[in-house]
Amino acid sequence: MDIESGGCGYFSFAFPAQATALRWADGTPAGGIVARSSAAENSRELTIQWVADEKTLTLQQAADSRKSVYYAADEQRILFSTRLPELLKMCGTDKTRFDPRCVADLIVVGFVAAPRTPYQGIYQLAPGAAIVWRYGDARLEYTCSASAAPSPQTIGVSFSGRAGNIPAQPQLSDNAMLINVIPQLAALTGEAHGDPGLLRLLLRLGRQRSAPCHVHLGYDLDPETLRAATRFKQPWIRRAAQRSLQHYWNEVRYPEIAGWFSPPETAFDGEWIRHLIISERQRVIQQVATAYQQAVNYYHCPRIGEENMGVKLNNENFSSDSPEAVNLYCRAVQLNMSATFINQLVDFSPGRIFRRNEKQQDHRLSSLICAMTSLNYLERFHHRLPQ
Amino acid sequence: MKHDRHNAAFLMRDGCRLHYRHYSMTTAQSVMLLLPGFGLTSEDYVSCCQHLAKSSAVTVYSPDLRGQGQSQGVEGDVAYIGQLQDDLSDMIAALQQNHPGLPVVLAAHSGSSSLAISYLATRPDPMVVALYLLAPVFFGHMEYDRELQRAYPFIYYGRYHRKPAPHPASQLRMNQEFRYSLLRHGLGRTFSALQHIRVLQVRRDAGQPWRNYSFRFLQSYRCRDLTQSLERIRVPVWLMVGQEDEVMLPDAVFTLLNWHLAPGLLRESRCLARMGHFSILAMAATLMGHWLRATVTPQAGMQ
Repeated sequence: MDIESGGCGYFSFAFPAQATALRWADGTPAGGIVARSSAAENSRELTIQWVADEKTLTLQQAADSRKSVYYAADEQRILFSTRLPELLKMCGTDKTRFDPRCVADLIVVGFVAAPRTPYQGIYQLAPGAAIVWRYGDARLEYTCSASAAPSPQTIGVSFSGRAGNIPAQPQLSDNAMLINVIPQLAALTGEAHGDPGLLRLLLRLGRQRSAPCHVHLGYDLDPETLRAATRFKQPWIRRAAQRSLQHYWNEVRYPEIAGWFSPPETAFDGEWIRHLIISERQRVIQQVATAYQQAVNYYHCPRIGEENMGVKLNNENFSSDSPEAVNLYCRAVQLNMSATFINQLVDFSPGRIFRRNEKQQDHRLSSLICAMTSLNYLERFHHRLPQ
Repeated sequence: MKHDRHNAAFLMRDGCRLHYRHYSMTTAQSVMLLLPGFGLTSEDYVSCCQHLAKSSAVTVYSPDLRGQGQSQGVEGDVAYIGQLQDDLSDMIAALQQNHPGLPVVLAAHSGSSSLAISYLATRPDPMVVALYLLAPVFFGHMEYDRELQRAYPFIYYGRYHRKPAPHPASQLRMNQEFRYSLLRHGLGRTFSALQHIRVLQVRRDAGQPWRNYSFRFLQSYRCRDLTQSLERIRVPVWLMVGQEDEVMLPDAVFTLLNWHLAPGLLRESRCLARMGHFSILAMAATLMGHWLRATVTPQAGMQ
């Protein structure tokens, strides 16, 4: 995996010897940049510029970049990395705290969109955005040059190559397998994902042979059900939590995301959320493909033999009465065995929901369970994620 | 290749001698300690161990637990809670003395998995390089058992107003009979002077005599906080379960390990088609040979 990380300012972390050293104007070491992939490829997607005289560091990401860049900055130092666990390690995992409000993002889009991450004080660089850090100044100068909305609309993605590093998947029921891919995806990306489509894609890749497969990226995303207002109205979230989360989304997250994603104001709410989810899927697929040594090719018109991400594996669904492993985890979440902050915001009340809605198949519930459980997994293991 | 079998004994810290069978190789690259399942002895693992020692560069030690088989000690009882963990650490120390420098692999079949997990979580040992779980069973954690629905028929009936349909997996029949006394369990838990009383009776079938297990033996044998112990484990874990296991639910065990082991620790999980709780031992030797090669090769590279 091509990790690029670096930092600047005063901190206790020591960079390895092969890092490109950054120096202050008087020649003393100021930090370093570690690049583990070819320089030409990096320079196209991510530009790093250090001006010693002005003590400024500029990070800029190309508009078409599918790389994630995470950073944490204060007056004394800035640290950045293209991989979140790497950055957590540099910051010190004991100081890392979850941001409880990221639940709003997980409910609406199923992931935490740039410029935020599930962790407090750690941010993502959106595609087409640039930050300038000045020593002694806690505020960053943030500019967003280009719109990151997908202009020639990508329909799907083709995978080719042998499934090399994909972990072997035993022959168990699909429902149990789907819940077991959640930790895989969380460990691979270091982020929480509540997107059953991506999880099913990971399952699909495990069964892939050498023949290429084409996957439609947005088939299961219906703009009508993706509207933010309806996403928050879920019976298993307490009313007060619904209101506060929706307020946070409208007042804070929507303007932030609009800044880099530039949803056209005239467009229908669900439509641009759909685009946002598709572009996020592309970003995650890029990470997955790199980790699993697969070649990825995006295409713009339908292909023969195309598969859907949202296609159900069989008729099973998350249900509360079958004695399957999945439901143990649904119950674990319901019964407040899951840690700390989720319970302050979201109330999975078994009495209310699982008597009334247990027979209904609800994809919003299953995606919420995926998101919550992966957040729970990260909360327990973020300090032990592979670097 | 030289292959021989010895019968000998480990000396424990309280002077008790635990019998073991020993399958050695002249050019062994690792040592394996294979813990027997609940109520089983090293005799039940002879063919598995022989096959393993013939096909892989490993020395296998197959002990009998305290009070079982030819080992000394009171049958189904221990002197204090935690004595089985002490025994395990004495055994591993003895292995390191016999084979200095060789990595130790801990393999556990059936109920001993709880013992191995609680041992590795509480006393991590740098020489133990891997944990192999064969059809693991976790005592006191009903959600991983086959017959899951039986415990809750009234709750199910009250909620859905119909009887629970039996899960197809729970149709498998076992001859073994278990009697667990909740009253005696409560007494043992409340009064520390009564920890020696018998709480569990087991017999293999109706023709066999009952075997008794005390409260403190079962408390030493089981893993008290299973999920937290799994989170504390630092060694790679390899898992094999039979799809038609009579005792536990492969889906649930696989999910448990996937979720509660730290990322990257679960190296391989195999669900073997048409294999049961005991018949899995027929395949175990072959599969463990593959695992040993994958475990020992990076170890040798590091040295």
